[in-house]
Amino acid sequence: MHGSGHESGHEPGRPVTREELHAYADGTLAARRRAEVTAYLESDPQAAARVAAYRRQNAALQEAFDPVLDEPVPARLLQAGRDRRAARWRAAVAACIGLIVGAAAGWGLHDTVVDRAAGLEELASRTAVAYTVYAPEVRHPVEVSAAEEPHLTAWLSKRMGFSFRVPRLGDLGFRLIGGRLMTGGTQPAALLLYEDDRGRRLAVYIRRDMPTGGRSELRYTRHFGIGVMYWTDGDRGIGVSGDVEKDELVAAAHLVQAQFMS
Amino acid sequence: MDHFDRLIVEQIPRLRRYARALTGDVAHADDLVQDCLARAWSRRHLWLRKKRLRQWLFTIMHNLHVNALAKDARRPGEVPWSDGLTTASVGPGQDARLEARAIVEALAHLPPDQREAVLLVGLEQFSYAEAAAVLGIPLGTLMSRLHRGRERLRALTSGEGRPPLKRIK
Repeated sequence: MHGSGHESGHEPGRPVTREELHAYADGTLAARRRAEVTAYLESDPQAAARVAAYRRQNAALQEAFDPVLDEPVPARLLQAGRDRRAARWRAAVAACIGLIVGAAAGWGLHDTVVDRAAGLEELASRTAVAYTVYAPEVRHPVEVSAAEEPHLTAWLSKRMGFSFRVPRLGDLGFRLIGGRLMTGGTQPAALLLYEDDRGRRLAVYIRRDMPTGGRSELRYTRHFGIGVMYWTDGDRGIGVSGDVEKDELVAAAHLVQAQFMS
Repeated sequence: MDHFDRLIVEQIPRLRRYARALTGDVAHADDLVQDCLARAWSRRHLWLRKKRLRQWLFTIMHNLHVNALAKDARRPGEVPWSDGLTTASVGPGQDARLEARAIVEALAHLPPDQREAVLLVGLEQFSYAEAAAVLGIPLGTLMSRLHRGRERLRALTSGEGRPPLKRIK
């Protein structure tokens, strides 16, 4: 980065690079090189203008945004992540209110074609709510425990109206805790809960009153800070949710999908 | 509140400052910070083996931001940037205030990758190496984004080093 002033008598040395102009403006250039760049800038008004502009940009950014540092920190940020169970309950309450409002708003439209995207969005939201409400439960996370799996399978199959097999997630270290009956939109839905050795839980939510046919791709979203993988297969809507890493959630979703298709 | 909590809480104002400049929206920015803090807390076991908490937190926030942008891109019609942040930018001097307003407006016109480079270096004063680490890119790429971003800001705020005198209605 050397312009017209190149020949006009500053210490030749190395040519001044573009990166050095930035470092000079940011005040991070080594002291020895600094003097050389200062001399160079005296001979190159264009480069000097750039450096001045970069410095003014930094000052303007600080002028614009430093006041944020003095704002009181919202309570929700001070709480974020620390009281996880309470956070989950708050999210669950918020989600339930959202569903009620959404249901009320949707009622006026119930004769019209239900938007496919809205159906999927609701599926994701219900999955997250189910996880948020039941996963923190210590004593009553499920109605029927894994110890009674044949009964669980028969019961859910009967209520759901299709032959229901409990997906295995042992490959990921998650074992079944049990399941419970849930509400879908117009028909019963099922919730299965899994747990791993670290006590982390996964929820699989299944309903069969999705408004659209066909098979959707697997999607990922986050509701209230909880990741959800969800998709449809015919009238079935399936969601997998849990406070686990995204790649684990994706793997779990693929396992569930493969086992439900077979 | 344990040691880790205290260290994290100390960083919240700076995380909020960066998020505000990054998103241009108070509520959106605080959502981003909240997600960042929740993730940091859930991964605290990963941090204990590292030292630079601030850089680690900014890395988490960058990743969340990039994911959110990718999600928004799939939903056209949602504009991630709103300019409802200028309420925060009232300083004493008239010139300084005008420059601050001009830079806030210009920032909205930068591509997100250049905006991040300019903000991490110019606002948050990370070293170039730290900023590159936060963004997960090589140093050369960081310098290139920084350069393009600053040149674009320069072009947007005024020509060739004159102070931006454009009045904002």
